[in-house]
Amino acid sequence: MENAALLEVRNLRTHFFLLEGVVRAVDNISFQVGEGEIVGLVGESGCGKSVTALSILGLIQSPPGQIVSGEVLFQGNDLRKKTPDQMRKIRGDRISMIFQEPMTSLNPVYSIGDQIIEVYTEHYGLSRKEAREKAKEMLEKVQIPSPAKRIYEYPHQLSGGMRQRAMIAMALACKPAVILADEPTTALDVTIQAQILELMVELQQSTGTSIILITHNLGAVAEYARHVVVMYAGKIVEEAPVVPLFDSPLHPYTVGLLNSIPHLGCKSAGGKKRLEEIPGMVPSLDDLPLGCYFHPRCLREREVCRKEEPELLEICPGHRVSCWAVREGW
Amino acid sequence: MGEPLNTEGKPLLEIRGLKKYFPIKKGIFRRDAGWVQAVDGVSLHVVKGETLGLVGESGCGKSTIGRCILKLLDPTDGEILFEGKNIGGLDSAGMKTFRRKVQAIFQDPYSSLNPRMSVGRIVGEPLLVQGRHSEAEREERVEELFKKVGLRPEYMPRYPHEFSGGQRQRIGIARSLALQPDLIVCDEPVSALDVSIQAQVINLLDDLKQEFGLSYLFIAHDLSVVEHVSDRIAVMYLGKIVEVAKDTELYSRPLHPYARALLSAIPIPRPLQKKKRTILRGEVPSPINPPAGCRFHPRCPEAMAVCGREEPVLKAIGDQHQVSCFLYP
Repeated sequence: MENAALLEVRNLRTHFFLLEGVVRAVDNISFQVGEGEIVGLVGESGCGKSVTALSILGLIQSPPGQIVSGEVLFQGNDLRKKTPDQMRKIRGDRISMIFQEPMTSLNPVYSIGDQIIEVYTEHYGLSRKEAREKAKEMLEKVQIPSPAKRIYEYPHQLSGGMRQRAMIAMALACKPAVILADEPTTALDVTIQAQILELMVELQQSTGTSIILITHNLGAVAEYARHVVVMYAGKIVEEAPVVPLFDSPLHPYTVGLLNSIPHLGCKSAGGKKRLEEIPGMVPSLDDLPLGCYFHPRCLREREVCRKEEPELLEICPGHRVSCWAVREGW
Repeated sequence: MGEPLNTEGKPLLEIRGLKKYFPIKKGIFRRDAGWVQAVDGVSLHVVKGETLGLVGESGCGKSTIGRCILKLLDPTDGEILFEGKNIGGLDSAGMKTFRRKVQAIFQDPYSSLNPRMSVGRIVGEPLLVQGRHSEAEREERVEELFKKVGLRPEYMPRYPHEFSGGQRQRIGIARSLALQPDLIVCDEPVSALDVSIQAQVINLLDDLKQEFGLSYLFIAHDLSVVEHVSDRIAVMYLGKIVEVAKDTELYSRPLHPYARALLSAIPIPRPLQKKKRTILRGEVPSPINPPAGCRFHPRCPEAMAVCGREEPVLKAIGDQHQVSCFLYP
C-alpha cells in the first residue's frame, strides 16, 4: 500500500447477542484501504464480510447487534464516535454502499430518478430541478439508455442489470471516497456481471474512489482487486496483495478455497483433475471450535491448533497470515 | 436437424425439435395475449454414461428443457425419446419404469425436501412409491444410500431443517439414486452452495457417475463448473441451442460469438493473466418477442445483414461440434 490509509478498521468486533448465545460475527479484525485502491474481501457465507461492511457504515441493528470494540477510522477520524446525525451526512456522501440485491435495496414506491434526486437534495441541498439534471447525468454515466425517460421508471420496470446500474449511480452520486460493494454482481447473469464490474472499475479509475469489493467470487477479486483480505468464521485468516495471494497463498483455507474451484480451461490444459475438497463445513458462529477456527477442517492441524488461536502475523511485507503451520513451518 | 453425432450406439435420451411455449393471460377472461417462447426447436441427445452440460443465462430455457424431460411440463411441440421410446405416449406401466429410470436433483436444497418428513423417509419414498421393497429392505437400502453420499446413517430420523445446504444437497442426491436410475437431470445442483461445499458435491456426483454408470444432464449457468463435469456442452441462448461441442473443444475453440463472449466474461482467479474480454452490449431480449433472424444478432459484435433476416440452423462443424451461426457457412 503506497498510499496512506483512507479507511482503517482496527480490532473491530461486532457481536450479536441472541437468546441462543453470543454470535461473534466479526471478531477482532483489522485492515486498511488506501486511496483509490480496490480491496477484495472474500470468504464464504456467514464469514462476516457483510457485517464488516455494515459495521463500517454504522448500520448494525442494535439490539441484537453491537460493535463491542474497535475503531473505524475514516480519514483519521473514528466513525464510531460520530453522532447519528453526523453519520447520516457521511453515509451516502463520503462512504456509500452497493448492495447485492438491487430489488430489495431500492425503494419500490419511488422512481429511480426520485431516489437519486434525494441523494443530491439531501447532501448538496440542491433544488429538485437541479438535482433532476444531475440524476440524468449520473444515469448516463452508468450507461443506462435513454436516461431522460428511465428517470421516471420504478425499480420493477428495470431489469436486474439496470437496477444494479441505478444502484451504482446512486452510490456514486456524491463522489464518495469509499464505496462498499457487497456482492454487487452475484445476483446477475454472467455477461451482465462482466458489464457491471467493468463499469465499476471504469468509474473507480475516473473518480479515484476506493472500493471494498465484498464477494465470494475469487475470479472477480483476482481481476479487479489490488489487495485481498480472506475471512473465515469472523476472522481474517490471510491478507496479501493480489498476486502473492493467488500465486503463493499460505493459509490452508485460502489454499483449499483456490483449489476447490474449477478453473476454466484447466481441463483442456491438463486432463480432468479431481477438485480438491475442504472437508467438513463452515462452523456455526455460535458454536466455534477452540483454538484456530479452521482446525477441524485443516489437513495440517496439530496439537497447538486445537488449543491456541494463532495470531495474524506479517510473513513478508503486506502478507499477513494467521496459521500455526505457516508460522512454525511444519 | 443434422445427422446424429454420436458413434457409440443409440442415445439414451434424444430430444427432437422440442418447443415449449407458455401462454400469457390477460384480462378477466384470461385470454391468451401472447406466448413466451421458452424453448424453441431444441434437438439434443445424451449417450449412456455421458454428462451433457447445458449452459445459458437465466431465462434462456435450460430449466424448461429439464422439466420437459422429467415430464413436469408437457412440450408444445417436438418429441423426447428415452431409450428410443417417446415419453409422451407412455402407458402407466411405461410411465412407472420411466419415472424409475429418470431422476432429478434440484437447485434449491431448501425447497426440494419436504420439511415435514424425516430425511430417512424422504430418501426412502421413491422405493415406497415404486412398491417393490419390504420395509426392512427399504431401511437397509436407505442406510446404504446415506453412506454412499457421505452422510451418517444416524441422521436418518432427523428433519431437513437440521442440515446445512451441502448436506441437504447430499440428501437430494441420495433420493435421486434410490431407484438406480440411468439418467439424472441436475438443475443447477451446486449454485446455491458455498465454494468449498461445491467441490464436495461435484466430486460426489463424479464418483457416483463412475460407480453406477449414470448419465447426467447437467444444467447450470457457471461455465467453469459445467466445463469441469461435462463430456459435451450445449450452449443455449433465448430458447435455442447456439453451439454444441466437446468440453475441451468448446473452451479451446468456441465458435459462436455468444459462446465466445460467455467464456470471456468469466473472471479467472489468476491475477497476472489478463485476458481480452468481449463485453456484450445490452441484455438478453424478452422471449415473448424474440428478435427476428438470429436471436443473438442485436447483441452480436459480428452481426451481418443476413443475421437480422434469416435464422441460422445448427450445423455440424468438425467432430461432435455444432454451431448455429452465419459466420460458419
